[in-house]
Parts: sequence; C-alpha cells; structure tokens
Amino acid sequence: VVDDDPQISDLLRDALTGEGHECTCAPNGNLAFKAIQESPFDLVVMDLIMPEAEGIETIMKIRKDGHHTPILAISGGIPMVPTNFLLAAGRLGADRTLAKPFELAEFMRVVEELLGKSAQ
Amino acid sequence: MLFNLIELTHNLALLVALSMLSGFLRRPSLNRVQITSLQGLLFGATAVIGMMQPLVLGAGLIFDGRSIVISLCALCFGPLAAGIAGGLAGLYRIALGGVGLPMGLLVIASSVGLGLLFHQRWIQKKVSLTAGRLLLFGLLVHLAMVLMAFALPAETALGVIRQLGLPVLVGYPLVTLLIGKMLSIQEAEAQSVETLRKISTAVEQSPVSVVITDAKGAIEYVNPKFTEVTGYSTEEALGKNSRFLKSGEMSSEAYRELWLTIMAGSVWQGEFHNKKKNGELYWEHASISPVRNAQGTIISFVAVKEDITQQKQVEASLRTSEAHYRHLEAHYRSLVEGIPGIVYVFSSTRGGIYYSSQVTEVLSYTPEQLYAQPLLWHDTIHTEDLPRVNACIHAAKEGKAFGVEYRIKDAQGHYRWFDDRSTEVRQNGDEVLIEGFVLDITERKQAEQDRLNLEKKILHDHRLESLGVLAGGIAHDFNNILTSILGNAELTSLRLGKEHPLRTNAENILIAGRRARDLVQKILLFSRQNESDREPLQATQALEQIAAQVRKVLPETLTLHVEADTAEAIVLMNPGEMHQVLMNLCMNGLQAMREVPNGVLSLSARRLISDDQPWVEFMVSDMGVGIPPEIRNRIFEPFFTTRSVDEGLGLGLSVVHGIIKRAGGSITVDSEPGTGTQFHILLPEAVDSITSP
Repeated sequence: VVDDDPQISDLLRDALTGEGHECTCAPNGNLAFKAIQESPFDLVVMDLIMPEAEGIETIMKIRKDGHHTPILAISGGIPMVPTNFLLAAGRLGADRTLAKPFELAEFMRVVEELLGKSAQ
Repeated sequence: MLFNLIELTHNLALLVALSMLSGFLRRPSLNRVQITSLQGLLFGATAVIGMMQPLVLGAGLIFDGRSIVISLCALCFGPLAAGIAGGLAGLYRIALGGVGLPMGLLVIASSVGLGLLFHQRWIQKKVSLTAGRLLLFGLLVHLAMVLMAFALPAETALGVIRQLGLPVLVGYPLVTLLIGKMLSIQEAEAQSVETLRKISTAVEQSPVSVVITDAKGAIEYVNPKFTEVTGYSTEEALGKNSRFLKSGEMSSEAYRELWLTIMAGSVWQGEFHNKKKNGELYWEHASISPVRNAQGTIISFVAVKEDITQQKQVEASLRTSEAHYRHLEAHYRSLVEGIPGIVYVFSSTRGGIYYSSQVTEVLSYTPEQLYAQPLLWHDTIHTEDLPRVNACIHAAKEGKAFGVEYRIKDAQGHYRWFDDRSTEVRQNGDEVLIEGFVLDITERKQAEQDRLNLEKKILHDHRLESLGVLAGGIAHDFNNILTSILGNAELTSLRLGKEHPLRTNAENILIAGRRARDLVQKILLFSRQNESDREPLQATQALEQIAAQVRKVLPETLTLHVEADTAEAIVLMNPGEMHQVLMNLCMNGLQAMREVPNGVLSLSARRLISDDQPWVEFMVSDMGVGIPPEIRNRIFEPFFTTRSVDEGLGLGLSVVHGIIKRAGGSITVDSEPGTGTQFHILLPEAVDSITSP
C-alpha cells in the first residue's frame, strides 16, 4: 500500500490483514519502487497524488521495469478535472482505479478480484 | 245796464293791467317765499285799487273784480299769497263798510277758498291751465259770488242779481281766463328761463368742449372748455368757420362724410385730429347734431367734443406695451415649449390647469384631455408613489418647495418615471397654485436598474466561481480524510458484530461520512471546468430521453407536455450534464406541483436568433407554487435551498447554473408565486457540428 497519508495506509493494512493478507506500506513512490524491486508483491495499491514521486510516475516506472504486478490506483484527486489522474493511471498501467473516498467493501472486492487475476 | 257794463269793464281792464306786473316779480335774486309774498301784495293791492274804482250800485254796495284777482292769486301762488291778498282786500272792504260788507267779505273768502282748492288740484299736481279749465274756474268763482248776493238784504239782493247776474257770470269768467292765461304764460316762461339758465350753466361748466355753429358752419358759441382746450378766446372763435381748427392730418374724405351725415339730419360721431392755437396737435371725440327750427330747416349745429389726446396716448402706449408683452410671451412660450420637460400649473382646488405641449410626447395625453379631467394626472400616479406625492402637495400648501420622483401611467398604460420639481408656489385666497416642471427620467431609471442588475449578476457569478476554486483546492484532502473516516467506521461496524451496542454508533458515522462524500462530489461537479467531453447533441433527442425518464416517476395527478420544434438543432454538451440539467429542473417542477392537482409540466425547445447568433432555447415550466421574488436571485447559489436537510443539499440549481455557464449559455427564471415557474436555458447552437460526421 503506497500512500503518503498514514491514516489511509493504516486503514488499508488493517482491512487487508483482517482478511488474512500480508501487507507492506510505503509513504511515497520511490520507496515503493525500491520495495518492488527487492521482493515480489501480489498487488500494489497506489495513491496517485503524493508529495514525493507521483503515483502515475511510479506506475510507469514499475511497468517499464518489467513488473506485471497488478496495480490498483486510488486517488482523492478531483475525478473529472482535465488532468484526470485515475483515467491517466488506467491508461498508463494501473489495472483498476478507485476514487477516494471508497467503501472498504468495494475496495476488498476489487482487491480480491485483482489477487485472483494475479494468482492466475 | 250798458253803463254798468262799461264801468265794470274799466274796472276789469285796470286789473288786467296791474296783473301784468306779476311777471316782473320773478327775480332770480329773490327766494320763493319773498316772491310769493310780493305776488300776494301785488294782487292784494290790485284788488284794493279795483275797489277804489268800483261800480257803485248804492250806498255801501260796490262791485269790482276783486274776486277774479284774489281767486287767481290763490290758484297760481298758493296759501301765502292768497292770505296776503285776501287780507288786504278784506281790511279795505271793512274800512269801506256799508250794506254790502257781509257779501263783500264772503266773496273774498269764497274766492280764496276756491282758488286754494284748485291750486291744490291743478297747480300742485302740475295740471296745465288750459283755457277750458280757467273758464270753468272763473265760472265756479263767480257762481259763488252771485250766490253771495243773498247775503244782501232781500230786496237789494234781487235787484243786484238782476242788474249784475249776467255780466258777472259771462264777463268775469272771461276776464279770469284772460288774466289766468297771462299768468300761466308768465309762469311757463319763467320755467323755461330757469331751465335755460341751468342748461347754460351746464354747458359753461362742461368738461367737454361745446361749439354751436350756424347752418354754414360759422361759430356762434363756444364754451369755456373750448377756449381752454384750443387756446383760442371766445372772441377769436366767434364768426370763424369751424374748420379753422383743421390740422391737415385728416382726410377730406372724412370731412365729406361728416357733412353728408349732418346735412342729412343725422348725428355724426367720430374723431378729429385738430390743431391748437399754439400749433400743438390734439385728438378729440366729437358728436355733432343738427338743430332744426319749427319748419324743419337746419338752422345750426351743436358739436360736443371731448379731448381724448391723453386717452390716445395711453392707447398708443398700451399698444406698444401689448406688442412688447406679446413678444415676451411668445419668447417665454417658445422657451417653455423648448424645455425637455413638462411645465405645469397645479391648483389645490381645481387640479391641473396648465400643461406645456411636451406632455403629449411623454404621456400621450393632449393638454386638452388633461384639462377636461383635472385629476387625471394625479390619479394615474403609481399607488406606491402616491403618498409621497401627496405629502409634497401638502408641503406646497404650506409654501414649501418640493422635488419628488414618481411613476405615472401614460395613455398606453405604461409607467414612466418622473422627476417633478416645484418652481413657484403661490397662494390665491384658499387656493394654492403650484408651478413646476417635470422631467421624464424613465430611461435614466432603467439604466440605473440595469446597472444594479448587472452588478448583482457579477457579484453572484463571482461568488459561484470563488466557491468552485475553493472546492477544487480542498477536495483532495477532504477525500483522503473521508476515506479514512468511512473506512474506519466500516471496519469498526463490521468487527463489532451485529449485536454490539456500539454498532449503531459506528454505522451512524458511516452514514454521515457518506453524506459528506456526496457533498464533495457535488461541489466538485459544480466547480469542474473541463470541456473535453462535450459532443453534439440533438435538442429534440435530449428532450425525449428526459421525457421518457420523467414519465416513469410522474404522479397520476400531473401531466407531461413535450414540445420540441427544433428540427435538427444541435448543441455541444456533455450528454450526462445535459441529462443532469434537464432532470434537475424537471424534478424541481414536479416537487413544486406536489400539491397541485391537474398540474402540467412542460418541456420545450426552439431555435432563436439573439445578438446575431443562433441559439437553442430549452424551457421547463411548471404550474407550481412559484418562487417568491425575494429569493429568485439566490436560487442559483450553492447550498441555497428551500427544502429541509433531508430533501437535498441545495446544490442542484447551482450545478445546473455552472454547467450551462460553462457551455457558453445562460439560464434565467420567470416565476409568479401561485402560478408557476419557467426556466429558460439558452445554449449556442452548434452550427458547424451539423456538417461534421
């Protein structure tokens, strides 16, 4: 889970571990990229607007680096502004997008879906 | 007998001669009492002289004309003269004594009595003494005298009557007639002399000139006024022809007409412009009358002339000042008529009494229409403004000037704004006259209102814009916060289990969080600024899609009416936004008609040209409760709502407004409380898109 907002990271970790998943958190894109390079992950939950190393930028780096890990892009960014981050993220390598605030049930459904894909 | 008659005639002739003296007693220097007393003395003396030369029939038996003299004296001159004359004659007769004394006294008394009786009946009543009356009078007096003969001893009496009865009854009345006639002529002459004297005085003192000429125009008389006016003395004027005053200023034609008129015997009236002795010219108004003698021949002319030089001068100066006044009046009138306003005079008791002609241009009423209904002006003033106007009229009655702005209805029924200022307030008895002028300030007022509206609109738009910027700025952080709140509440709720007493609290946090999320979504929608997702939309199609959805939720009490007359009209819009806009307005319309049975929701679209550009106008109207005027300007503001919190957040119309504005269009609302509301949306018609695939 990559998010600069610790409350969001904590919440998502809580939800994921609660469902029996293992979870690693990173506060920015650079640290996340490093972690992915070091060890494989089944799923990356990536926030898009962060102070250091933007989410979209990181997604592009991950894909360039040859990783096929499923990526769920999440953002509280304005959903319909000209630079629609989620739309851009989807086009640039994210498998699914969710606009904040989302409901955990919905989040978990998408996570399970992507993990199933990953398992295939 | 014959001798007696001759004797008597002598006696009577003496009386006639003496009576002639009566005329000389009428001296202007004597007053009436003096004259009357003198007449009494004269006639008394005449009677006495008559008695000195009597016809003697026997000792103490004399006959004379005293009865004639005394009766005529009483008849003509009244009691005082009669008393004196009768007294003198009586005393003398007593002195003579003799057998005839009683009869003599009785004759004097009866003569006085009858004379006074007829004096009263004729002279005092101005009955003229004709020959017949005098004869009758003489007969009555002497009939009495004959009867008095019975006062004599019986044998004497018969003898006397036999001797003198006939001469007395025939001769004496004739002599009475003769003397009486003579006296009455003298009296008439005296009267006419008196009248002449009065007329003469009047003419002499007359304030107008009087000139009398002979038939040829030679002057015979001029009065003092004439000499005063002309400067010619009476001596200079007499004998001259009246034309000697001619100034040469008058045409000979005028003189010819004058002579023709007066020679024909008519009165000529006209004006002369004559010359005085000193050469000065003067004007006179003359009236010239011919005077005819008994045979009808014109013997002279009388001219009465009034000096009207001063009057002429006054008239001339009046004419000059009148011309001056006319010129001034025309000048001021053209000034008044040229002022770009209405000059008026209003009377507190009679209403409007003067309006300058501009009133017709402004109010389409002619001044005459306003004069016919003096309160028309006052009565067409807007009822909201009338109290202020009345206050001004009231103040004017107390002499205070005023300036007031008000609305007034013109002949077409349109209100115009007037700026009304009093220029003068005058008191005329109980009436107050207000003069003032009115400027039509309708255009200025309209411009003021337009400016005010524009300012409001700019302020309104600015507020909406800044809200959008603010929303965009905080949305990201807000969404993160909400994610955390919602997620944690969800987890808590889930992990507490259904039975846990805190479960409800956690779920309430969740519900509140969701509301916050929806709010943020709407704010963002309102403030978004992308145009990327617009596409050509057929207006008719857009309406039909909405209509289909509205029908699904339409209550049975309401009807939907769709009128799309736009042919192929196309607008550039995001289909979702278009849907959102129309749906929002339709839902508002249905909401407004919840309590209205048989309400109709109308949807329509039409093309129109405004500012040389093609537009498509969408209209959504309902027959609902309407929007009160005081909040009509605020309905497009975010968070403004008339509903309760549960029913909505009040963002609907502000979002609609934002969408339409970003699409280059505009939205306006017409609403009448109780009648319904109409939303008009104007969107630019996408002319180019029609040709593109």
